[in-house]
Amino acid sequence: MPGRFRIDVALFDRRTALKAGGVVAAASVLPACDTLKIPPPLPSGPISGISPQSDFYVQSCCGTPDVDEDTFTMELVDASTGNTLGTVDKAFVEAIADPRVKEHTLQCIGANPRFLFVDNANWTGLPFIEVLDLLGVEVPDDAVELVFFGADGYDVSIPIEDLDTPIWLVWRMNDEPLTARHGAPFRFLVPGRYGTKNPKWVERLEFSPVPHVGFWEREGWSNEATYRPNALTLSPSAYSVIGDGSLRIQGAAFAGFDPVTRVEWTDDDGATWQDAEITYTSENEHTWRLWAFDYSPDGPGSYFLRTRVTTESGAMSVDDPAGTDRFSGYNGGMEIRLEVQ
Amino acid sequence: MSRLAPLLLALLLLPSSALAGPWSKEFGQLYVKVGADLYYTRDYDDARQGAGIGPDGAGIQDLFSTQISVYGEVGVLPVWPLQLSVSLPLSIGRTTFTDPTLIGEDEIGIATGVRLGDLRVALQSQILRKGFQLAGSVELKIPLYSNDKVGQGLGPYRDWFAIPGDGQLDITPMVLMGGSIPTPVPMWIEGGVGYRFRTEAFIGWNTELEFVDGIPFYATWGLAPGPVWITLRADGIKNIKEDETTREFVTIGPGVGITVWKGLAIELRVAGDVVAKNAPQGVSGGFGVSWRMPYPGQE
Repeated sequence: MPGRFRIDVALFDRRTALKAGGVVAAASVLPACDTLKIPPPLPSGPISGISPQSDFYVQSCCGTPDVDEDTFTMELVDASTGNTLGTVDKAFVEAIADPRVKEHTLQCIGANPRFLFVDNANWTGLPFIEVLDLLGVEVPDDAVELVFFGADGYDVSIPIEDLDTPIWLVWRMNDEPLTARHGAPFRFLVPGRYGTKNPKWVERLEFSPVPHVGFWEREGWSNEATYRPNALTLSPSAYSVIGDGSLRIQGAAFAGFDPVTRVEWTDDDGATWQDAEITYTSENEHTWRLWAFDYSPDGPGSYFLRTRVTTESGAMSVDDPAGTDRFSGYNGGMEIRLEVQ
Repeated sequence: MSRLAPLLLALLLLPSSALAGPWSKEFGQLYVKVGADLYYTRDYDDARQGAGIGPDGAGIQDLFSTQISVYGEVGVLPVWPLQLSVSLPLSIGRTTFTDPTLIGEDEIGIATGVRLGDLRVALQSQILRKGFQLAGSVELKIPLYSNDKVGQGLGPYRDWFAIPGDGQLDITPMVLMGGSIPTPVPMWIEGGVGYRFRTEAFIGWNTELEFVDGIPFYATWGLAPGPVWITLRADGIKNIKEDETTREFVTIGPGVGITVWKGLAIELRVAGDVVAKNAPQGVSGGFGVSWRMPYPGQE
C-alpha cells in the first residue's frame, strides 16, 4: 500500500522476542498447540521407475481444454511474416512410420515437499527437428525463440537453440496414447527445463524474432527454468505417525541432464550422513534416480529425516529442506517427520 | 503457483470488535463476561484455490472454530465516564481436509490449532449522557499469535491449519450512539460506526498480503422485559476499496440474556453471515456468563 509505513515483524525466535520485550514480543512465545489427526501411512511397495500414465502428475495453468483430438491442429507460423509454414495433426503423427521411444523425466517447477510433482515415463515420438524435416519446414533465420500457444490459454517460450537439445514431439506414453490430461493428441518434451517449458495442447507455434515472456514467467517464475538438484521423499508422507519398527523410506532425485550419483540421509540434523540405496537408474539421460533406505527408530518420539543429493558434476542440493528461491525450482533435500508412537 | 503464500485466509472471526455500547462505564462500574463463540462453515476461502496449483481432490471440507474469551469493561475515571475495555480470546480452529497426495484417496485429516487470538483494548469516553447517549472509542487490536508458526513442524500439512487472524495491528476509532425508547416494555436502540486503520504492521507473519482499511459498523435493537433481555444485532465491516484479501461481512442474529442472580447473567446469541467476501460464509453462536457491578437495583 504506497504511502503507508509497513512493518514486517518477521517470525522471531525466543531470543529476539526477549530482546524486543512487551506485548508484541509475546506473540512468539505465548503458548500454542497444533495437532494433526491423519490415517497411518499405507504400506507401500517398491515405487516403479516408470510411472503409469494414470499416476503421472498433472499440472496446467488453466485446466484441461476441451480438445477434439481428431481435428486438433497445430499451426507453425513465422512470426516475422505471419505466414503459416505447416501444420501438424493427429493423423500426421500417427502416420510417421518410425517413431522412437525416449525415457524422460518431468518435474514441475513448483514441485516441493508439498507437491511431489515428478515422474518418469517412456515417450513415443520424434525430435521436433525431424518432424520439421518431414513437413519440409525450415526454421526462419531470424527466429530466436519458439513460442507456444496452447488451447488452454497457456503460452511459453524457449530459445531456438533448444531445437538441437533436442526437444521432442511425443504422442504416446508408456506405449499408450496420451490421455487428454497429458496433452492428447501430442505434446512437447523440452529436456533440461522444468515442466513449465513442456507445453501441451499447442495449437500455434511461432518462430519468433523477439523474446517472449510466458504465462508463469509473467508471475515471476524462472524463464530459464533449468533443473536444479533435488530430492523428494515419496513414501511415507512428510509427516507420518507410525508404530514402532522398521520403515522403508523411498524417494526420487533429479537434476535434469546432470545425473544424480549419490543420495544421502541424516536423522541428526546433518551431523552425520548415510548413503541411501539407489534403487532405479537408467542408461538414458535425463531420467530420475529412485532411492530408498530402511529406518528403524529407537523408540517412541519425533524423528526428522533429511536427504541431500550429489550429481555427476559435483552439484548438490542445498542443506535447507525448504530449498532456496522457489521460483527457480526446488533445490532442497526434503525433510520428513516421523512420530513414532 | 501464485506468489501468494499458500496459507488459508480464514481471518477468523469472532468477535470483529469489542462489544461495548454507548453507555460508558462510570468509575467503579464493571462488566465482565466469560464466553465461548462457535463458528461453522463449509464455505472456506482458500488462497490456493485460485492459484492454479494443488493436487486433485485436496481441499478443506469444513471449518469449526471456537473462541473462548474473557471480556471486561471498567470505568476508570472518577470525574467522567471513561471506560477501558479488554477482550482476550483463546482461539481454537479445527479443519477437516482431504488430500489424496498426503493421506490417500477417500481419507479425511483433521488439523486443530489452539492459540491466543487478537487482544483488543479500547478506551471509550462518553460525549453525551443525557437521554441520547453518544460516546467515542479507540480500539487497538494486537495479535497474540504468529501465523508463521501455525502448523510449524508439520511439513506440508501446515497448509491445512486455519490461521487465527490477519496478524496485523489495527487501530479502530468509533462513534457510538443510542438511547432508550419510552415504551411500556423497556426498549433501546444503539449503533456505531468507525474506521479501521490498517497499520500494515504484521506480527509474526512474513506475508506479501496487503489489507485495506474499512468501515466497521453495528446496530442493535433491544427489549428488556424484567430480568430477561432480547436483542437483534447486525454488525459488519465494509472495505473502503475493492481487494481480494480483506474480509468484508455483515452478520445478523438475535440474542437473549437473563439475569439469574443479582448481577450474574447468562447470555446466548446466534448469527449468520448474510454477506461474506474474502471469508467463509457461515453461522455462529455464542454463550457466556456475565457479571456486572453494580447490578440493577443495587445503585
